[in-house]
Amino acid sequence: MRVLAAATLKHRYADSVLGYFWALAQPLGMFAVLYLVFGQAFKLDQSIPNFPVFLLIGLALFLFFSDATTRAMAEIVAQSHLMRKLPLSPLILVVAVSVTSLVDFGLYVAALAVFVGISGIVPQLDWLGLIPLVLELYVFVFAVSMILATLNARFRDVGAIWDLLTKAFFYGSGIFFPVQLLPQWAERLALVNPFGQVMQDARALVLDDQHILTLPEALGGPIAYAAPVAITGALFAFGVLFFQRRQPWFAEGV
Amino acid sequence: MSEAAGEPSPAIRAVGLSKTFRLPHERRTTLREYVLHPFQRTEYELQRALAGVSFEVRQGEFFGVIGSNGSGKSTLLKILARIYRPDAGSVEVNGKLTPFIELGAGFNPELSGRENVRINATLLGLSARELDDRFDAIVEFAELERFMDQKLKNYSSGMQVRLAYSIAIQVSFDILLLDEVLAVGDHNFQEKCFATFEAMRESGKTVVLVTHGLETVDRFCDRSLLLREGVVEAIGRPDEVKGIYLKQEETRAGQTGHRPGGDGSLSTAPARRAGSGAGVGATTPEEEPRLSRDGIASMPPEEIENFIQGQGRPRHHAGGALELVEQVQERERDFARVAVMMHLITRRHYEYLPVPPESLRMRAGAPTSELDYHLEGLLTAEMVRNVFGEAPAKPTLEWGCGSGWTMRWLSCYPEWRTNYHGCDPDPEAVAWLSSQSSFRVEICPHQPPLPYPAATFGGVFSFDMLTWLDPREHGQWFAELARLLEAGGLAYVATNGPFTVKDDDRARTALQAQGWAYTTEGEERTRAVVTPEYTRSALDGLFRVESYHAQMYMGKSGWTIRRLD
Repeated sequence: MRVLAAATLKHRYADSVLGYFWALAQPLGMFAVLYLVFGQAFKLDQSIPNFPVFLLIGLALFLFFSDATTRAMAEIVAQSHLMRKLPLSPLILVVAVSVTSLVDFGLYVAALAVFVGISGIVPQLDWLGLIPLVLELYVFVFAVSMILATLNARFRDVGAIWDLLTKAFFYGSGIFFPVQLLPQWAERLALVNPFGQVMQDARALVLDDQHILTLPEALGGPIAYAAPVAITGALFAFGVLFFQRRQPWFAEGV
Repeated sequence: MSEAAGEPSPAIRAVGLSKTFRLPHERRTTLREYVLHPFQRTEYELQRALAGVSFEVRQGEFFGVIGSNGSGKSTLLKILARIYRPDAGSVEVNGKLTPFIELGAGFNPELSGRENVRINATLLGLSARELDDRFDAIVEFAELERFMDQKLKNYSSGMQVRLAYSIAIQVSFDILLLDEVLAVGDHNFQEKCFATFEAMRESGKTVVLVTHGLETVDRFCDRSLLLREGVVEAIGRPDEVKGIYLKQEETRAGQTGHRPGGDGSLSTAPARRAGSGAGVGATTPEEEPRLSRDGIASMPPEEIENFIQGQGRPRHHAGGALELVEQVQERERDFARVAVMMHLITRRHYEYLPVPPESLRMRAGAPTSELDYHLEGLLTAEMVRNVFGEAPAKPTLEWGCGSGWTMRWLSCYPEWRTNYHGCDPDPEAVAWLSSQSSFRVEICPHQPPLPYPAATFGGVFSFDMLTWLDPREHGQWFAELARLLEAGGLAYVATNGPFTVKDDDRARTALQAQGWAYTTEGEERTRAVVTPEYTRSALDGLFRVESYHAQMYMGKSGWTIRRLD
């Protein structure tokens, strides 16, 4: 598995001159555009303190989520030559992809650290709380990956649909703007889903800013955390069952 | 053949493997199509890849799987490797099984040889430490020392296969599945691979080899299996199975217009030495004279005489229908072969004929004339001789001898006159036979037991007796067969194929409850089929299957089985 993940990474950047730099260039370019448009043109920079860090946290988490799920979805079909030739557990492929994405995410975090340094924010002990948040997100990503990979092995247009959904998600869940700007029902939706909850909690931890709305503030106290955790758990359980059930037929379908 | 007690468990035991692929005519692979046309039913074409395939591979055996393209070889291998899941049946594997469905799975052309070795070896289950230990051996065997840091895309295909095979043999396994691996690679490297085969054999590894390379099968395999349209056509000695396969290929080639001597007469009459002992179904086209069907149908006796080489044989037949046959038999030592061919031709059974057939299917059908009976007797007599030898050393019983159609032909061979015994449920036939000959013939009931003490016979052959029983009584029948045979005794049993039971759902459910196979033909008819695996289950524990030949003649399957101790 480790070898597979390493091979994927290597393969991805082998022929490009700048290698791993490209893993960063694309999100940083995206960051620059979003910063210029929303930070400068729409003046969010002035209403949100440390807007670059705010934006980069959201972007890094989102890219991890969308990259991992999108790649995992396509992986079983992409590796059909392996699936048909080796008695390989397809789960390994999904794990390898999500681990690869986790490595990319590490790069984003490194970039984020630079911006944090520039902003003059001092790391606090309670930043350790970020670790369970990332873990929660990883489980969520993995659950979604399994479901998508299973669906995609049967229906090839799941890719297009998921592309659309992630775009909607990107614009609708407060990645580059405060969730308070959304209508109330959308705000709740953006907070209650595991991704939004993780993002807002991470921002609140790093930026230590009262203006960042987190789930318990919006909805009935700490007990509200039960919702995203339950969603993650349920998706994971469903994902495992669904994947295991369909797995014997992958080799034929792809 | 050892009859050692306490047989070790087989390396692989496959029971009743079936696999059908559903090929949608217009495959709906997108959700969009489901949303747009929710009620449109997808039409599927069912492609049967495997139907009730059963066999065993013994520990330490080299087992070949052959068959033409699309016969189900690769599907079988993928099921054994647990890549595909069978629709029905089970696979039992004893030992660590490593499949090489394709050499170099996971090879990535953009990475270097070194990195590809690492990925491929890991995918095959080699740990990092094992790989470190064996890396040099891999490179050395592949003879690619100078190329390890080049990208794989710059390798020739031969070099890639060399590298892949070198990795493959470094993986530790008990059972190896190999699919068509030696197609590429130069002669030198092939020989090197063959040397590794020898090493595997010496270290007691079990190898299943799927290949078109009949030479390889001949050279290495202890037994081989012939698949045809997803059904086991034959299992047995590689040369015999190869013969059946070649014949099959020949008829196939004939279908596509490659027709030898089709000018309406006998085009060639090559001299042919008789008495090779090769069975009807196990001769290669090279040995067999080529005839055309039209030619033999209109063949004047003189030409038949020309065709036949050899000396005379005793005459045992009379009657106008046999005139033509009689004209030749006096001079024909291997008369049986010609007569069998004529029989097959008149009945349009082209399987074993070196002639282009319109139809490859053998049709079951009852003999309609005395000539038919004679010729069918002749055919079975030759098959019996093929199994039990030219001179049976021990008493041999024909269970179900009828009016002696087979017996008369067997008695043409003096060696068969002494040890032959017959029994039949038909008292008239037995009485008639006893009055006409000095053979030891007994009346036996349809149901066991037979009027012989246990272990009386060294061999038993039986054609069509199972037809008279309900398939559920087959186990009992085989138990009686085992009782009659001495330990290690050989039996040759022909079972009929399709067996119509009843046409209703209740019968179907009852059959399912009994745990035996049935098929449905269309929507309305249920046919219970005495499938190979059903027969095998009836044999289980009493006999070991030496060879199995589906579609032996007239829709019958032939089982050569040996009684266990």
